[in-house]
Amino acid sequence: MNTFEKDKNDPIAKWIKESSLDSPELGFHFRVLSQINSSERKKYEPVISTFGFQLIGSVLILLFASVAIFIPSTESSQTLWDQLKLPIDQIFSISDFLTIPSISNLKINLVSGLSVCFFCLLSFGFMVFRSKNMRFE
Amino acid sequence: MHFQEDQFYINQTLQGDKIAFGKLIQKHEKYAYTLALRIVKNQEDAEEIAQDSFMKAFHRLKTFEGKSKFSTWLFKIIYHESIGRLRKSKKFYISLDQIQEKEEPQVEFIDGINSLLENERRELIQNAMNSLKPAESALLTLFYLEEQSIKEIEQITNLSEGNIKIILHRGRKNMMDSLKKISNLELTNYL
Repeated sequence: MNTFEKDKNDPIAKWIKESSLDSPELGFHFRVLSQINSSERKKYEPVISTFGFQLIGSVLILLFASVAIFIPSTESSQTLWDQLKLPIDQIFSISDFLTIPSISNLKINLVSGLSVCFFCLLSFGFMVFRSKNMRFE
Repeated sequence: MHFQEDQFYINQTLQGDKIAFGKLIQKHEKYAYTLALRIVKNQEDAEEIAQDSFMKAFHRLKTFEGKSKFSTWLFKIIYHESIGRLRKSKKFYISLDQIQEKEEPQVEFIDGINSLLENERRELIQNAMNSLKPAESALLTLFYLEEQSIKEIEQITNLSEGNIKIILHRGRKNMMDSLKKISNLELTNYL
């Protein structure tokens, strides 16, 4: 294979160099700059705002948490809420009302169950608080 | 026109000075336009490609790390923008088939071209360049006219060193062949 050392006596190298550079039409750089300026003026707003996305996210988290906690997996099984054996359980049992099958037939102890509940509530509260702050900034 | 180092204009542009970017365009516009023209072989398309490439360069300037020359970085944008257009129109392909070695050009032929007037020779060379395949004329332009090294051409085109050398070798051969054809044709017309 040829080695491509730049040889000053190489006729092709000399001729290509001599063929010189072509120039675009006059005012080329002004046209590019004006295109840049006009492209910067077009600032698109998202259809769904940040607050909207956070609200949707919060609703989804709440929905997931409530399905996991309050809906039993089968008609005969207990909900996670019922498994926690909270004192409030004596007042009413949600599984008496809801019998939709779900994924929540988990054996979770009291501490873990409460942690999940508090985590969901705190995340919801934090997201709502943050969204409000962002709106007024 | 006297220009500063590229990095000076880049720093100014990143601080929001668009006039500095204008200077950077002026410094490189001929190289950018020539490379695009050698690939697409159409003045209007070449100008449009050069404009779009400078726009892209402006918007991506923050990502330029200075590891390569600014010209190499810009040529990469122009090369890919140009071949992108050709691919859309299915006019771009790179063939790496081995070519048959022909006899080296005769000294008389080279002397004959050298004896032409500079303007005539320039026109002849440009016509010969236009008859080459886009990849060949692009690589010959980058290597000889824009003085990029093989390593830099590797960065620009994403081709391997071996492939670049094959295309350059083929481009030189084809250019010599088309120079012979064009000059013979002109001589026939003259007679």
